[in-house]
Amino acid sequence: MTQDGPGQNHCPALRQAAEAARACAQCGACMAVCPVYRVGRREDSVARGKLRLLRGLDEGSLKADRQLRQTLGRCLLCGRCTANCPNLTPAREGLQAGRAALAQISGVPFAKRLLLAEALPRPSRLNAAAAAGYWAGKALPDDSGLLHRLSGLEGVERLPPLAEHPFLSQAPAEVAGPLGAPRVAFFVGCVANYMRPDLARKAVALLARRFTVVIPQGQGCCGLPAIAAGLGGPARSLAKRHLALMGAARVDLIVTACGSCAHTLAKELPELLGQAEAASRWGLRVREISQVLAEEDSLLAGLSPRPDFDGAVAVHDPCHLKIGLGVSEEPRRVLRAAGLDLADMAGQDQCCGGGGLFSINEPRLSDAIFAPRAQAFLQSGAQALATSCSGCALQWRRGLPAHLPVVHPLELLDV
Amino acid sequence: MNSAALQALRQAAGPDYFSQDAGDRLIYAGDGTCFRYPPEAVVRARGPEQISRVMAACGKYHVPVVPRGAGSGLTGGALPVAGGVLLDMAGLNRIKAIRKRDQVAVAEPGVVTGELQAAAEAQGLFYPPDPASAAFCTLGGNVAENAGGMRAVKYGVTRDYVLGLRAVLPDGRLLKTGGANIKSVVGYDLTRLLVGSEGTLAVIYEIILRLLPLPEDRATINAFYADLDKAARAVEGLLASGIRPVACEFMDGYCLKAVESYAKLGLPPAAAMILVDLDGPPEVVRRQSGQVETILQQAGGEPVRVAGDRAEAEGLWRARRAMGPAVYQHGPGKLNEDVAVPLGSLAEMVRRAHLVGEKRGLVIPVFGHAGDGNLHINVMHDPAYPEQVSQAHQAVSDLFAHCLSLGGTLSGEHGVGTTKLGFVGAEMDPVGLELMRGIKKVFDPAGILNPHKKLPPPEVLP
Ligand SMILES: Cc1cc2nc3c(=O)[nH]c(=O)nc-3n(C[C@H](O)[C@H](O)[C@H](O)COP(=O)(O)OP(=O)(O)OC[C@H]3O[C@@H](n4cnc5c(N)ncnc54)[C@H](O)[C@@H]3O)c2cc1C
Ligand code: SF4
Ligand code: SF4
Repeated sequence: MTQDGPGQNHCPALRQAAEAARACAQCGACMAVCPVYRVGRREDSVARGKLRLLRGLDEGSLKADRQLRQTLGRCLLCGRCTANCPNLTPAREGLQAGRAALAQISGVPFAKRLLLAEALPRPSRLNAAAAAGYWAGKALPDDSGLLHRLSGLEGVERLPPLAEHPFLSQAPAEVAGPLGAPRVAFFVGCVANYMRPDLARKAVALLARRFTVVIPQGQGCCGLPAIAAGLGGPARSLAKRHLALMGAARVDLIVTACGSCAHTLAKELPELLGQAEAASRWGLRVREISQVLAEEDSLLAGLSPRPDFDGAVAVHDPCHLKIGLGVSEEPRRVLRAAGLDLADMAGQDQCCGGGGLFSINEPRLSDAIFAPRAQAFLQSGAQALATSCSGCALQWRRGLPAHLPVVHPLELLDV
Repeated sequence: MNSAALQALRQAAGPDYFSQDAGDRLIYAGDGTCFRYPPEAVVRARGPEQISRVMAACGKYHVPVVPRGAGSGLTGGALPVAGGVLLDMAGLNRIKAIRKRDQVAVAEPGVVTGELQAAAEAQGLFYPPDPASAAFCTLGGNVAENAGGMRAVKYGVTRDYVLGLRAVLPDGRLLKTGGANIKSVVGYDLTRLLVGSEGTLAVIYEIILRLLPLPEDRATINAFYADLDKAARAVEGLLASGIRPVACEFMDGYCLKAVESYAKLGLPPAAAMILVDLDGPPEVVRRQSGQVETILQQAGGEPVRVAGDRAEAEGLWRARRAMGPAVYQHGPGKLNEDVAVPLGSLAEMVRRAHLVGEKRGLVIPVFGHAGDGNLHINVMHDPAYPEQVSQAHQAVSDLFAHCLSLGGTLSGEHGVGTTKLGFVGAEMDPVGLELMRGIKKVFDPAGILNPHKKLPPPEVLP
């Protein structure tokens, strides 16, 4: 028998992971909620098992090898384990720190590093990559691991093609609202910028009915993929840049049309920057756009549905939005205010399997997690699936037949 | 385990179902207890033929095998204390059939209890056993532990629903016991022998369970008491009234304090809380909840509340559900015992537990299933202080002595596993124990299936 004891190590990320692992009482309750465990029923996919592995790493009985990296990759970072742990174990946070520890100890594979450490923090590179058709299944060079795998995913042909011009390359620096309107910044996010510029345009137009909207140039990726890959350095440099940019914009709110971006900016960024006071205050001002719309009666009152859409809408709750930020009623309120019918969809707050880099690293598990979602949607009788997260939207788009629209709630509005 | 054994096992299990990986050995080393014993290899069960081959190979090379469900057991039943093979049953998780006409379910052992409850409910049927771990423990683990739960007062425990089993014996033979018949007296009742055998007699791969019609309606009532005797009188009055509550839960003052500081529910200060659930046709439930309210009030309950709807009922249950984690408000470490005593001795057992706590300088919160005499006694301590740990262990001995002197039993539902092995000799009848050893020999002459569990070794006999 082994007795529990603290490990000897000097890597802060590993220390954080090991602390979470030691807080775990091993009751097993996270098995009831973990989407990955539900489909595989393997102890190594639930928080309890993964935390135990991290403890092994901390105590020196396990090596930071490829297998451990792979196992820790089998997590959507959805946060259900933390939210439901009767013993208040910061499980998701520990698993995320574990990835950072592994990346530090062993380094991540080169291809991932290429995109995540090099391209994402530098918009110019990602622009170049986009222009060169790097993304989304256009002729990909052999050595581009992540891109290659994205292209190898089933259903990629159903993803929106890359926009000819990213939103930010054509966006004004500021769109004036009514006289004396409060100022908000719009954070675009990668998917809206490169794939769905119309969504970004709609978001800005709606916001401008009530606010003066600043669109800071030089913004980039929110940092979620880097965090998910355990790359603390690149994530931190993104966070610092955004903190500075948004600070300079002198705004009351930072608004985005993506639940994952909102969660990363609100929750991860202050964490990355060591809870610096400015960062924490900054985090409090981040909103997903449906929150802003739902809070403003004047905005709600002016909403109407897109004339070419007819039928009921099913809403899928992104984990980052519902579990991470406690937002789930707001997107529905927006759709209802526009006069749209909401369809009841079974499991509407269950994970779609698209979190972080999961669908790229674990396509089979990801598909298995998604399968019941698709079935529930088809049974709901809805004509469109609305979800307020770019990651979820990509996952649903890959998974649903092409004639069924997958949209952000805003995309069903007439703007 | 030598390389020939490993080779044979890998082949018997199938390479995709076999692992010697350091990580797998680490994560399957533990269960719901705080102990860790890494197995030498892990096999993921695939079906009866594969399990049979694995058992045969283990027999040949004399390798211990430990079946594991969800690993939520609280007495270490799934710990591979002697190394060997950990047999993970969680992947066998198909509900094979819910036969409405027969009112039975046929399920593999890895099905999670809550999944079966939901599937039965979808057909208007009811699987009553409801351990607090139902959302994640498995039917196989429930059968092997004879798990109880919240509804035992009216509906009994897992044992009362198992009609038949399919299992693999330690020598690889396949065994069928029982069937879909509600009554059957042909032969010895091997089904009941396997229920509660803690994986020491056979590996269960299929379970036939009895289902009931789903009750139409439910009601929830709770009451607070300024002293323990009043609460005990309330329970006695309720059970003597002719009403069979589904659940009759009890929490002592330490528990209430802990829950209040953990979950801030606005509970009134009290020495005890009683929580009662009723079910049945709406008109009966309505009449009975009025009667229960009167009984709880007459015993001195203040306040007594009847939930107006399901949401309010959930609110009343919240205090009880928060108990597991809340108890740590009294200390970071806990030894959790689940003794049961005859109904008339309930208050006395609680009182003695509190006295043991005073004597040992520890807080001992008690909660549990008052309606069936099963109490969860939590000896809180701080593992960082060796003196406290030793006092806590001595407190457990004291408690067990009190429990037995009141005619109780050392475990109502969690089983013996390894953690109670040192004590159960004191409770068991020596002749009975001799028979049990004989039974184990008949099933498992080589002693390879979950060794050192359930039955005390000769040297700890009194
Ligand atoms: C928070 C919490 C609350 C709990 N509440 C209750 C409660 O209210 N009532 C209650 O009774 N218990 C309770 N338990 C204890 C535990 O959940 C039960 O004992 C449960 O039955 C164990 O099921 P499992 O699938 O986790 O089995 P495991 O822990 O994996 O195994 C338990 C035993 O069953 C054996 N076993 C498992 N599968 C098989 C199989 N297919 N064939 C043969 N043997 C097998 C194992 O060898 C072991 O001896 C609780 C536990 C927790 C953590
Ligand atoms: S629910 Fe919490 S304490 Fe229980 S096993 Fe999971 S992480 Fe650990
Ligand atoms: S974060 Fe989600 S996917 Fe990851 S272990 Fe927790 S519950 Fe499972």
